[in-house]
Amino acid sequence: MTFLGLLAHNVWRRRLRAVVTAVAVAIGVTAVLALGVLTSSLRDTAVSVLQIGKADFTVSQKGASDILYSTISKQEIDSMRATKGVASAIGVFVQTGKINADHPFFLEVGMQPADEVPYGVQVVAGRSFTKTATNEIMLGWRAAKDYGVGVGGKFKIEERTFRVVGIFSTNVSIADEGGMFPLAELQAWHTLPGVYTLAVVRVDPHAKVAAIRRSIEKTNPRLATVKSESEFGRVDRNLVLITAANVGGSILALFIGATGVMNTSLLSFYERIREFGLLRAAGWNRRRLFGLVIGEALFVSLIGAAAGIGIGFGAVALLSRLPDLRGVFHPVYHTAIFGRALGFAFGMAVLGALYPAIQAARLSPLVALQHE
Amino acid sequence: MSDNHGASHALDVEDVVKSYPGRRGIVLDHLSFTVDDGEFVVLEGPSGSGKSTTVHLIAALDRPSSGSIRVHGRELSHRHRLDRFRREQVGVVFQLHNLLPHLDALQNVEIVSLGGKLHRKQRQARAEELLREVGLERQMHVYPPELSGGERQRIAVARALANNPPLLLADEPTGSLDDDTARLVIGLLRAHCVAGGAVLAVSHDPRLTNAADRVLNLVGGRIEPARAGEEVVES
Repeated sequence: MTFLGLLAHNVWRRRLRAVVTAVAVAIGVTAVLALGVLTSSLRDTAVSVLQIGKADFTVSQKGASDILYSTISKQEIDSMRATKGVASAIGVFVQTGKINADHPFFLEVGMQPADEVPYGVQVVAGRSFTKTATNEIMLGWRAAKDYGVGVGGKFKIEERTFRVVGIFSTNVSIADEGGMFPLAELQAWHTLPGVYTLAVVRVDPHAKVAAIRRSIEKTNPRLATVKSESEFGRVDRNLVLITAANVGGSILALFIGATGVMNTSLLSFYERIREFGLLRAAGWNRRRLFGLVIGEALFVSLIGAAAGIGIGFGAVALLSRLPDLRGVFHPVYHTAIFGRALGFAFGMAVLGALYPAIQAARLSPLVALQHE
Repeated sequence: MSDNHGASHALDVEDVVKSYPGRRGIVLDHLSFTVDDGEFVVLEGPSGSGKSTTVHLIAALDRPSSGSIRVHGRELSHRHRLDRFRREQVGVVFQLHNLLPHLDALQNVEIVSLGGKLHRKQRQARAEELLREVGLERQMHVYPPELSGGERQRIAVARALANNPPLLLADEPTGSLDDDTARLVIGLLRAHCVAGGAVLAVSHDPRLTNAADRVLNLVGGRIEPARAGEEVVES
């Protein structure tokens, strides 16, 4: 017999209760995993919109509910260009369109052909659209592959059909899954002439980026500059809300799981007072008894965590099929999310079993042995 | 009071008082006695005379109100690690066996050695050896509810000996046993003394008192002085 063997034995002898507790933990872990994957994937998708231009920083409307609802005027773009130290400021118009039920969010980027190279767009087949074309589109190489369309083919978005004149690559997957249009035509199609969504700014060599950002924000108080992923909340309130919901949901899941573990551990403690007394009388120290109670809770929680991770994968797969999330939710399983899920399982075990474990460790052996 | 006495006994109980608040009042009233290595001593007395309390105090399951208890010269109240004392210095056979019903006989004996100096295989070998010694080699993997009272008591003795303690305490070890089983259990206690250990048993079972080296009569929390011709004092 080993200590671990005894842990497993004690869990097994109350297996029905252990299963119920593991289910509570699994639900918590599933919630943590699914919320974590959903949030980080949506964040990745949103942030990658900003990464397309490979700029020193991006400018968007401050506090917009969604980055795609940001509006910037031509005057504001010009003002950025006029800022000392700015090498280039490219205004782009970004929207989404529906291809079909499976692809409800097709990324549409409108820009001037002259801005393609500075924006990091490489035409890999065919040519770029002309500045004034009304039915020309360049497809990202991923989109061309996914939809099986090549140069010269036709591509339908909602009620309009475009002629594919070229294939491009940006090395940013969300952009390569979308299409590029003449700026004026895309603005007109979405009835927002002269409106930009984002501006990507490059600065002169050796110029101080922070100072330039401050200057642009001071001149254009309606706008915010974003350099890193952590600043993205400044221009996308939805992501801030989703992140907050993730944190809140995870904490709630932690307490639900911990309550399940505590219920089981307390029941087990009251049933086993004599057993604990005997072990103390036989020379077990308080630490070992504490470890036994915590260890049993950890054992059950780890089983629950394993089940929860499995169920979490299923939940994420289901989420990704929801019509509202199709096209924008590309599940990304970061290692940190699994670490967090396991951390939560550990937290549930410790939080739930702490009080019973302390009670067990503090038992007087004699009082425990005489317990009826 | 010094921690070590020159010629130490296996057990030296000196002037021990144990009192409880309320109706129970004073249970042990300046109790003093000794037990030497290799000696088998029985503490007898009527119900409520303080026999079990004495065992609990010596096993460090409770503390005396005053007085001194020394095991091999070391004062119990001076020990910082009472858990280690319970594991290494004293084995207790409880009146109600206190076996864990969800563990088989072997595991019941082995569990008290967890966290001790022995490795897993050594612990198991020791438990098997003890169960063989108490005649339960065929019941090693049987659970307590399936065993007779005598078999359970023998497991309890084996468990008390698992950590090879120099001092063995037994609370009514033969009270509910038939003659054959009682004889076997007494033989086990006696064997511990022959191996150099000391045994203090509390009982009013004549089969046990007759087998003891000495019998101490506990009345009202004190040792009654032996009266002339009383056969129980020196067997």
